[in-house]
Amino acid sequence: MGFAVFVNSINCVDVSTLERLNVDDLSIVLVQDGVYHVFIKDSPVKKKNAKIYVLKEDLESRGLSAENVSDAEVVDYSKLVDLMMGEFEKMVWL
Amino acid sequence: MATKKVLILVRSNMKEEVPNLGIDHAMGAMAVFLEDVEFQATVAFINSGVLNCMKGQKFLDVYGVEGVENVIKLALASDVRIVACKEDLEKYGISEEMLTDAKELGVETGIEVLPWEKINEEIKEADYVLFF
Amino acid sequence: MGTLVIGILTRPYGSTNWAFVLNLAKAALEKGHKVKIWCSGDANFILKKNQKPFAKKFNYESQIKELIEKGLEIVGCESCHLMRGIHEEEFIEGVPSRTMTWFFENIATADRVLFIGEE
Repeated sequence: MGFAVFVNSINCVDVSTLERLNVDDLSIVLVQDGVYHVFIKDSPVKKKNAKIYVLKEDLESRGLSAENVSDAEVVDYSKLVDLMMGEFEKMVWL
Repeated sequence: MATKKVLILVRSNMKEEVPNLGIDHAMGAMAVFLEDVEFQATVAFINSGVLNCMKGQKFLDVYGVEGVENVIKLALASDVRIVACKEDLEKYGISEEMLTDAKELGVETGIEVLPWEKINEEIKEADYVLFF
Repeated sequence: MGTLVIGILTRPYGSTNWAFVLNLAKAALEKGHKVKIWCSGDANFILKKNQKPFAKKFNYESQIKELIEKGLEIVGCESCHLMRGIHEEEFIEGVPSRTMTWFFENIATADRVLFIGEE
């Protein structure tokens, strides 16, 4: 069962919950300012054993592109819908 | 009749509406009557949200409005399960004796103190997980 | 095709949560999914009609109208919007006021639920 955590900010992310959340098959979806976490060296997002997805449109709206991203999969809204309605059975927004 | 578990996690303190809305949603879940589904709601206070659980809050006296403590009492009286994270209570120096209850409403079941590990299990088991 | 229910507390302007939610809803509707949105707390402000469009600024009213035409169901929380002095007749056309049980009745049959709490 896929469990997805949505992160939408740089500083306001609920680090306490993210750090101690222990679920199987964890994915982290970076949206809005959350996309910056792929570039932050010590981001708590990167410390989780999780598959990381980054929303393409939110990268581009911030002057970034998929070429800047490594260790994460860049997805557009259409692909995100597929993930949400398919793989992610449970989703939370931190 | 299937029972669906709703877990509501309240993470902030004294922001008036947000903790109250979390508890209101839990009470709303308990009030739903469907032919084939019933909800069992739990509100788990975590992070600084545990500060909402302290007894003796004089919110009504100071601000003239109902505070979250009273809403917790009503929730307990409505069979909403209320949980507080043990580690977070310790972090803020809150002992179990400092937690509110609804004994004056005739409710013996109070706030359940659970370690994060157990709350994490409930996150995994719940049908719906709502972070407020 | 499935049903996605989104609950949200966020205020409309000053945050891009709503831009995300409406873009997501649009993508889901275009793929044939049903999308239902529950507005709680400050999220109810987004439902007010006559939001003046400014050039090249977010105007959520026009987006919501467009999505309703595509099948979006979006509702306001009765006690939350009344507390804010917003009455159902001031809502964007096609948006009803509902009580909290609407949210739970709808998640009971939804395929997926996403709840966006406080910022």
